[in-house]
Amino acid sequence: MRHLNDGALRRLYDEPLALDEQTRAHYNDCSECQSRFRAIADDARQAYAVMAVPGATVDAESALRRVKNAAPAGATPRPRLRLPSVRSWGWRKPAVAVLIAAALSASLAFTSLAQTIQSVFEPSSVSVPTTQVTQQDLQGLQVFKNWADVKQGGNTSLKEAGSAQEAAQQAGLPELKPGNIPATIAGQPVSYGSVGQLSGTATFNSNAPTALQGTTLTVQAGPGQAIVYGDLNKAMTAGKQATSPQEAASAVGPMLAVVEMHGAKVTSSGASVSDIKAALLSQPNLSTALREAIGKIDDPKGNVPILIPTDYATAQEGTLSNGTTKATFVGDNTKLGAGVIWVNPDTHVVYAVVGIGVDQGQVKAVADSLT
Amino acid sequence: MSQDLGPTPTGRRPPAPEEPFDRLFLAEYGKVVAVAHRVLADRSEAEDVAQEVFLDFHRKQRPDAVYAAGWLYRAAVHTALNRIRTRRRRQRREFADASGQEPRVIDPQQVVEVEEDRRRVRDALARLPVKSASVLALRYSGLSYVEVGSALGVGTGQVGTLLRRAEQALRKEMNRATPE
Repeated sequence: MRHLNDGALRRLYDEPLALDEQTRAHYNDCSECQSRFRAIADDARQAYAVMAVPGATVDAESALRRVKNAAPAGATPRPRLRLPSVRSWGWRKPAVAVLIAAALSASLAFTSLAQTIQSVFEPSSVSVPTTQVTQQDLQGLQVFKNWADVKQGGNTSLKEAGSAQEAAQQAGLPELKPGNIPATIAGQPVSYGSVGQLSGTATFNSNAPTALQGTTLTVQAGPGQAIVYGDLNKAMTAGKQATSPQEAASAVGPMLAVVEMHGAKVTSSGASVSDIKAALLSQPNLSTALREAIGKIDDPKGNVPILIPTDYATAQEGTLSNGTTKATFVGDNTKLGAGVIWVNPDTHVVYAVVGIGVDQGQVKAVADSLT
Repeated sequence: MSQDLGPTPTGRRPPAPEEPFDRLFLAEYGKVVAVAHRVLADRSEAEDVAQEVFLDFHRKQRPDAVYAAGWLYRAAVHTALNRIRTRRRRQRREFADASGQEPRVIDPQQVVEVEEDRRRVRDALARLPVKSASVLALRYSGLSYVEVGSALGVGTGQVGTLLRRAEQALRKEMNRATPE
């Protein structure tokens, strides 16, 4: 049998009966494990002594009376909702998927094109091409898929938090305090969550243009945090079962997500943004809209074009009410919802406010409260 | 009803409460205060934290939820850690201000040393990763490995490893903070 690991030895100190018979038999015969145990036990005793606090008693009944007096009259506990994993989102309807993807992960707010080449810089602004793109245009991006061998890392699961404060602590970001929540949303259950740092690499292979081959792009995004108003469990079920976006939205009811996330930071082992842009533009059969979008990458510096196919949604640039923050407003063509995305150019933190059953004025009002 | 701050309630048995929230409160209040107390080393502030945590729970969660106790412990340790992080600067300022004042105790040197030791421990705790500080506070306040694992959302088998690493990290932070 192998030696006990540090965790098992530590538990042996606190809960010796919790270890199984075979493990304890090994320990009893193993001088090495016993020696390590003594060191671990010493550390445990010292740490416990350092953190010792004076004994005291509490009066729970009096405390309960104080808490009940402090609780708002008529307040009822809201049902607790578990945040789903990003991977498990079952939305199959593109119109709704555009909104939810934008809301739950800043990295998902960008299209596959932008994800591929938002590289070698930190996005400090987002924009939409003046020429409208369609789903057909985006199919032209498929050619780039085989250019690189991609490895993904990090944990894309949303981690549940008990409060906005806790989510902020998990994400290492300031606490989100959205205001101007629409009345139809304000009474909904609230869920809080965070996502850790996501990372990945893409190494250009022999399918890529020669200038790029061998270059590795390393992408890091996050951590981030989200506040979601609405019944997530219902949303998950409706997203999987509905036969149309309207049906899904009707079943879900009003929802609003407020997301804050450290934007993607990409480093390159070789190729520059200009190299990548030139290689992309050298490909035949790209539509005019796609060429324009590629041309706007990093122009001005740090810009990422967001490609929202007009078949599903509209996108336009605008300014939040502070007069300086430029944002991209996304509207679902089926009038199911709206969203707004912007980047703080100083901190490179990406924000998104996206909702179902809300209009652009309402999401803008929430976004304004955050700037 | 009075309770020890440790996990085992003492004293007379209270009348059975009718509301699920009341039952939860009376069963867990002592442990929640104990967790916060272990972080803050201040009983009064620990009770403030516990009440804040229960109020938050009351607003958002169901009292009969199976995760209720774990939620409360985790919220208590996070709220308490937030408090020590925000009060570090204030304490330093107050300590500096107080150094010029007349002592009000018989043995000011000893009191100052005790306070300084406590401050160093809280500072070290505040610098640890949240999970490390949490596992120390939860375990040292008397929670079992099962309870600690539930509160942190990790398997019971991982608690020993987390605890071991946290103790090493705490020792390192304390050594780093010790003036030569």
